[in-house]
Amino acid sequence: MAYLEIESLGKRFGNAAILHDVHLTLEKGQILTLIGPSGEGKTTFLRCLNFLETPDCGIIRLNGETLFDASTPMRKERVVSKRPFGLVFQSFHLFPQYTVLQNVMLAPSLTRRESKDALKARSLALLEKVGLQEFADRYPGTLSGGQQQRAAIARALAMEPDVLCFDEPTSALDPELTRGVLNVIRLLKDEGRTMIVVTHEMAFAEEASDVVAFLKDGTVAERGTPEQIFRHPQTDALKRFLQQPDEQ
Amino acid sequence: MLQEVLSALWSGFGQSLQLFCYTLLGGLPLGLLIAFGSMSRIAPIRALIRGIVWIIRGTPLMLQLIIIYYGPGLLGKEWNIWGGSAAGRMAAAAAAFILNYACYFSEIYRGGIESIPKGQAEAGRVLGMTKSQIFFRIHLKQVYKRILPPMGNEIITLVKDTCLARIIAIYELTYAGQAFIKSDGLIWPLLMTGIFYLAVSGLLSMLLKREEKRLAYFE
Repeated sequence: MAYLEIESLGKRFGNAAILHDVHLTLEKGQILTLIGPSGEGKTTFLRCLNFLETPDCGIIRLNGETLFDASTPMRKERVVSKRPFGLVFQSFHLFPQYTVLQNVMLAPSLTRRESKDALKARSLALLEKVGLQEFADRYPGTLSGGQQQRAAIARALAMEPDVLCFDEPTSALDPELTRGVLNVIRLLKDEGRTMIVVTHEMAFAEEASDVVAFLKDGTVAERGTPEQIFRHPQTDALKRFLQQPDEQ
Repeated sequence: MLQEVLSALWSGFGQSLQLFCYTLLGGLPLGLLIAFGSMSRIAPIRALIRGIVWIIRGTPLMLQLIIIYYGPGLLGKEWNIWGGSAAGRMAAAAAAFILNYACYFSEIYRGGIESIPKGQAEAGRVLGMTKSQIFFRIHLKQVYKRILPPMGNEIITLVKDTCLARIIAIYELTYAGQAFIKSDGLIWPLLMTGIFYLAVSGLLSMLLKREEKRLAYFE
């Protein structure tokens, strides 16, 4: 049994089926990257995992435990209070009125039993990990986009998620800032974190992932190792996408 | 004479200031409640609240004062909740002002709340924060910063609107000044009331500016 198992996940908005029949599995410590044209459900998939949207059908299991099963009515609070997933947004969504350190500390200080000193030490260590120790007392508005995104990663890590999700973490960034963010993700991979990354950075997807899934028309059109996906694509849709990934 | 005028204006100013304070104390929290009502997910509540706001903002405050003060008495003696005393008149004026200003405040609150990007709440949810934690720890200060300038406008308007209360015979500042025209044929006491209004609105502008500066550190 895989660490993370997603079975027949589906989500519709009105009459439009954004996701249908999404099956994915992921082992602990692996990186799954999701590639594919824009508007094909990649973001919605991450939002379902993080319970920002409630899937209409499907099952989500983590470490053998069923987190979500659309066929059995579940108390939403239970799911929400567990929060096994973390999410890093495309446009950061840092809290502007708090310093970088306060951004990292806010949610854990409200939801976890942890002494203030221990939390602060842990948060500073996270900021050091993402290369922002000198920026702990700065406000987000004074940072570059890349620095803001790394702060957002530290903030997500502070809740110690089992699976950390990234929704196009570098799409809002200039190319030279992209590298710093991707390096942080590589560092987290070396630490053995389980991650799901939606990205348009094909070189990064090929080099860093363990599993790549190609989403098309709201479902997984093809999945495999980076080698399989990028060197030996099977479907026409994937071949076309790989030739012109920017034409979405 | 000056002594007499000053003491009359001073007591009128006291009445104006009282009404001003009651309106803020009642109107600011009531406005927030109305704002939540006008954003309610329950359609009938939303429609009802928005209807009330439309009526209150669409009619003169003076008319509302008259209806609130005289209206209950017209329904019958036992309905006359205000009584005839000065305190009763002040209570009626406060009720009308609070209701009127709460409706204006509610629209400012609503605009402020709706202007916060959805991502802020989503970031909070993903981090496991509850709805009230998200409101109080994330939204509130950002909303406060955004509504400060329009709120300041509204509050400075209120300083001067208090003079409408004379329509139900509240002896407020303008009334006090105008009384000297009738009794002594003097116009300057009325002109002098302007100094009081200017002083209060000047002080408020200063405080608001300082508060805006304090919050300038974030966008």
